[in-house]
Amino acid sequence: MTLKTPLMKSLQMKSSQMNSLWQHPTDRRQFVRSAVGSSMLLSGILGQLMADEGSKSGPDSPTKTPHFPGKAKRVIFLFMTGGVSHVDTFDPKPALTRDHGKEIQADHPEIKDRPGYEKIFLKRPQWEFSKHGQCGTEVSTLFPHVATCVDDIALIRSMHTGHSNHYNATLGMHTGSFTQSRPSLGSWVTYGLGSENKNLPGFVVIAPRQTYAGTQVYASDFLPGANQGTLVIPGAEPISNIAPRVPQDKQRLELEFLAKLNADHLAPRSADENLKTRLQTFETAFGMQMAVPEVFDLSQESEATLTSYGLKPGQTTGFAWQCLAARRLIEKGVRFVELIDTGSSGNWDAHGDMMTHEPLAKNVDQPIAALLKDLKQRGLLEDTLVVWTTEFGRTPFNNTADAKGREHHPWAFSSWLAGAGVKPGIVYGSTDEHGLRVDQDGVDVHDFHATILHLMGWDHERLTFRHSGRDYRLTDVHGRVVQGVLQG
Amino acid sequence: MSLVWVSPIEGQVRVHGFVQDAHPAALDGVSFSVEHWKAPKAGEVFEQMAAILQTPILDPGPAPVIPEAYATVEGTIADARVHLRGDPEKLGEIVPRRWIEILGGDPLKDPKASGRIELANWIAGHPLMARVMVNRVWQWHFGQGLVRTPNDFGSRGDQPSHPELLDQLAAQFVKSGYSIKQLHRWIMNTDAYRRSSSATAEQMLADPENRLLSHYPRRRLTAEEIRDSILACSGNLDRSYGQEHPFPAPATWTFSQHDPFNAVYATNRRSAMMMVQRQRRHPFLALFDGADPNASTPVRQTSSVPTQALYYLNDPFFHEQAAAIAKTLDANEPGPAKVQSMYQRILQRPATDAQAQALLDLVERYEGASVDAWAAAIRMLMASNEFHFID
Repeated sequence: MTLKTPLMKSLQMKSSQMNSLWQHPTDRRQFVRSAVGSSMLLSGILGQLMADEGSKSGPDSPTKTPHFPGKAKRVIFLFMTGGVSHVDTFDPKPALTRDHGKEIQADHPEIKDRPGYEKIFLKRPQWEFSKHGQCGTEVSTLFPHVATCVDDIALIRSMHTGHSNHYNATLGMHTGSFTQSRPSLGSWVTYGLGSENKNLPGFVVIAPRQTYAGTQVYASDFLPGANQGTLVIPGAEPISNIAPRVPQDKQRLELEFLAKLNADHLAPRSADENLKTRLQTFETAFGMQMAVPEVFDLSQESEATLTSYGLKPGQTTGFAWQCLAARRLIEKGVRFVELIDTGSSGNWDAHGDMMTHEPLAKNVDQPIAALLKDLKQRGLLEDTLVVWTTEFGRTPFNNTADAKGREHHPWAFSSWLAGAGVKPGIVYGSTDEHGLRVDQDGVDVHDFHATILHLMGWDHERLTFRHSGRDYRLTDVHGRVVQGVLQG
Repeated sequence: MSLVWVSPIEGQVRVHGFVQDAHPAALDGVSFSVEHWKAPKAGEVFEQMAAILQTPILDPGPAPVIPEAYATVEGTIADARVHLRGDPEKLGEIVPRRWIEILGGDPLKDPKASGRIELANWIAGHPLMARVMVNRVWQWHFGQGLVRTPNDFGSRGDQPSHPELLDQLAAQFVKSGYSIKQLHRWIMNTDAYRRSSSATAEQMLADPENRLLSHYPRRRLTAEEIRDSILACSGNLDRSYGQEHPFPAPATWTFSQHDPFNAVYATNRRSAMMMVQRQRRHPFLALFDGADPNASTPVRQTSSVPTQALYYLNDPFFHEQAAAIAKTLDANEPGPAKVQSMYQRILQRPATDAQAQALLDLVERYEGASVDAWAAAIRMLMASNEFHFID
């Protein structure tokens, strides 16, 4: 990336009249002064400040031009935290039922040097699978509603990841790095494409609690701070400091005074884009105080819509609320919305009892299906990418044949994509007969990321940011686009 | 230390112990052994001891609170195995401790020592260390270093803009006995530091990145500087050194990756004293581009985002600081004099007539208590670009 200096930017943005004035500093200063005096400059700035939703100019505009036209304009990323068992949800394994209790050998990271795990035995799934849709993709009874959407889904049964700890695997799924913190996928996408709404952040994360690796999962790290995820916690004040502390007519007076202060300060410094950007943020923030409550106000939704998501009128928490809020955010031009279903405890981490998957699936199943159908019905699924994933799968074995739970399993798990540019109604890749290892068309976390970026119009090898002496990318030195899940 | 304990019952007993302090020389700090005698063998002595121990006089009370801090001790000295492709779980051959090959690869002088002190001495004695340090301090003052890749002075790093100056400062720094205070003085007394940030079009065209520092590169305050400045203005800045944070007692810790420690401790001390957690950025530092505490952050971004502006509009801490200043205003003082004292206090300069009038207009039009109106004006002075940028 070529960094533009403030002057070069100004030269490009100003009119030719302004351009010629730059050649004569004295004239320029006079021009700026008279412009302020006659409110010309001020009204210009205010005009930019008050830009309508949908305006793409200003500080949130794309940092780069996509490498090719992307089918997806925005992403909804559904993250099931804790490790969802693939063999109980989206990856049917009749042989696992048949061979239940059979001892196997595996050089598995979760059993290595672990007392009590000298012997391991296959453990059957506890839910039945059946075929769904025109495509006949098999889904278990844990996801009866999502099962009705399989004709819109590209299911990947050959996912695998680089680590078997929650912390590392969660960080990896979000940033491509399993150790050090790095910019999040959402930050890269927003860095590339900017935001389409000046009153809302480009990257929003809705989570009831923090998940593993804390705020690092949505941090912009070395990318510009505008690309960090804004955390929304369902409930009374979803975004910190969003509720006005003084009435808005008073705030208006405050901001008018601030605009005067800043205009005085800017007059002799008008070439500095940083100063202009900062003063614009106050008008955006003023707008956000209205825009944010409005986007999260579900009272405008029809009863039919609320019912389809499983929402009660007035409800402001729960995954159903998160899903409907996500649709409303992307409708307003938010680029990347991540929904995290739970937190670092009380999640899919079913060591003790697989039956804990049941309430967790019930929590997300109907809302996710409703979201997909809602997006489709509104024509939004054509240019919105929906991603469903977890950090790793769960072992098809345990240390006794009748163990109730399953352990962490980085070797294989299932994720799915739906919407913009995704080949619908397909299953990509497969695991072996017991769901232990990937046996065909493996997709690792970097491949997954490369494919998501591809759908947004980015070549993952060329979307880079220079930091600490080298060009960084989301996929580091890995990743290949999974052609098999793309529409022709 | 040994401990005798007489069981009051016959049967299976579980004994819990908690070690508050231990000598670090033991492998993991603590070692213990358990011996078990049956009462008849121990005889009356133990019975007497049991009787004594049961009297309230000898009740030891709650365990003493001993201040704790993480520290490092020399571990077992050994050569490490190569981590194949960087993976600590895939170990390769053992490699003897030595210098990095590109730096000569010499073996350690004392193979029985860990090499830690030799490494530290080597780093401290190398001229690069002084250059790197000088460059960092320069960067904090100017927003960019003489070398713009402060973590990388190697072949992939940036060339210094003023190599002679860098060497001169580094040499002086070493000679001064590594005095950081002297270093600040030298830098802040330079002509370059005291230059105005306004530039002519010719200057900007000749050196668009201002690497030659024809003018001071205007920079925004860092997160810590913003917070400290606000507290300094309000008079609430606590300049005392940080004490231990109010962490919960170690004996109550049940933290795990599923239920991690997570706290933000309110303080009016300087921002450098705030408690920092590796995995969770302090909300204020995160908002204003503070360093990621889990990664090396050689250069910080400076972002301007609406969520920062929301802070100035609505944050309770920010409102409190402005209200504290408003309360100090003398009600009998005429408005224009109040304006001038506010400008002096917050922007360190007098207000122009037009600026004074604008502030008085705001106060007049702002309905409600006058102290609230002044607080509103103070908030905006502290939210202004002028407050946030060093020219």
